[in-house]
Amino acid sequence: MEPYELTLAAASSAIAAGELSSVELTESVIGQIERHESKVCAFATLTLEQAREAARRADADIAATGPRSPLHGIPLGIKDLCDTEGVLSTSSSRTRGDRVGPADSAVTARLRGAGGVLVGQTHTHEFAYGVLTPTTHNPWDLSRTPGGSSGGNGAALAARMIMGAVGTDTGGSIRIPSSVNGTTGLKPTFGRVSRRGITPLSWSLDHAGPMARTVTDVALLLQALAGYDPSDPGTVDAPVPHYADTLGGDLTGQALAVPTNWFFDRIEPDVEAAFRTAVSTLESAGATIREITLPLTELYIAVEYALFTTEASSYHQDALRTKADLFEPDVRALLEAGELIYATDYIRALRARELIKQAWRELFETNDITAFLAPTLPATAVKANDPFVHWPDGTDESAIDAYVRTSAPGNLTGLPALSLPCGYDSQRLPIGMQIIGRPFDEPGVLHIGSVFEAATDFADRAPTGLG
Amino acid sequence: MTTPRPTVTPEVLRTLAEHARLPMPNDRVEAAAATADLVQGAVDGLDSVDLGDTPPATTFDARWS
Repeated sequence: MEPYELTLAAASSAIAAGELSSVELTESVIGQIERHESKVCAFATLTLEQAREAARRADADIAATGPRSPLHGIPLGIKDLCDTEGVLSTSSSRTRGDRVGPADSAVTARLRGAGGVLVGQTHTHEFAYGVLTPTTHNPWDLSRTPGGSSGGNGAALAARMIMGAVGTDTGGSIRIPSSVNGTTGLKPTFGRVSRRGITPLSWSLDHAGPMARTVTDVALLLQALAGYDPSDPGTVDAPVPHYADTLGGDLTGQALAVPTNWFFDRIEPDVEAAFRTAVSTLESAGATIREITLPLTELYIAVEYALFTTEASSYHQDALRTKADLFEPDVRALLEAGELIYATDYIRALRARELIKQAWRELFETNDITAFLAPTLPATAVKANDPFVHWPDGTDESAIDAYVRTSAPGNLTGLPALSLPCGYDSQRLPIGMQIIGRPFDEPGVLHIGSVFEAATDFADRAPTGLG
Repeated sequence: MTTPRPTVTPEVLRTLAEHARLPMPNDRVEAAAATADLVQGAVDGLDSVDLGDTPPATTFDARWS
């Protein structure tokens, strides 16, 4: 096995044991980038020389005093929405083509502080305003989307060009690429991870969080990322538990819920079959499964769109008047539309969001459930040149509508939502399952994910589209 | 809210954009109207909800640090 094939946790253990150096690991990962980046196009900016220097420094520090965290010496990626000091940080937008990060974002600083080796800025759908990341290709099938908006992370992880990453999620942008690339990603509870230095899409819905290949890797990354930051008024001053402590074991005594509505209103048969099999796996691990009906589903898309379109248009209001031609057409059209929503409709959405939060609280408490299970998406990766889901009844649904439909509940409720691979469709494209837990119960969500992962081999499989 | 919202036609879009002080070149009007109509349609899903006295979910914090 080559070093780039290791999981983050395995590489970290090998470094701690003195069996692998950060330089060896980083050179192995760079080799993978040199082999595949021209096909995958996951990076907006590569910082390989800085990575080599960081790896040499990591080896010297580890030799002197041991690793300061499990991320010490590990090659990582940063979504281009997040500022990195001295490095092009463009949000994959021509409106910011020459913009250099003035300072590290909070997440960049935390990964760097933990000893991470940053190999580059990964592509996002422009300003995180979409689910396709058109610059980038899915390693399972290069003609298909890697999802978005953190599509560069998903593709780079699947292609083994990084071992972990930080992404952002406003309407599914961590979970969508995790699902379609066969990787694992966690949208933490709203307020768990600081967004300082990250270009906003929607202040009320934006979350930052970890992406990796396995649940354990995600837990190790979250450990470095989580924590209160007074400079992000959205963060919460809540204790940060030790996330790796709850991994493994079984699910005896835990009740998990599966919805009967919303997520199954329209879904590809292969996706539903894989999800049902995954639920059975969790049941075999000791969980009790309860069917529930989701409340207020008629409001989910309305609230999501009312909040993110208006907030995004507010942030980009000046740019839309000074350099509109530099926005991609799809993003420009959404920014224009968001300017035309009335403030009373926006506030109506904020009020409806509160109702949704309370209804979900009642759902969890009345049914006494630890978490809620659902397919991450209703479909697998769409073709890049045909970004629609073609349903068996002959209707078409845009990828953004289909993907956001099943992602939005996690953003609206702010609850922690983990996506991990749970199977493949008939074209061998990955399928994801999401596990949504109670507020700040990342340990519970990661525990359930780790039990599923231990019972299956989906997280170990490499993509088949790179030749 | 029970009154249906009019479709965002190109003509309506021009008026809305002018009032928002948003430049709208002629060659963009049709595409922008279609997107705006889709977004308005999505937002109008809020029409049916009875909000009662529910306050908005906001994050304002009066503390200075």
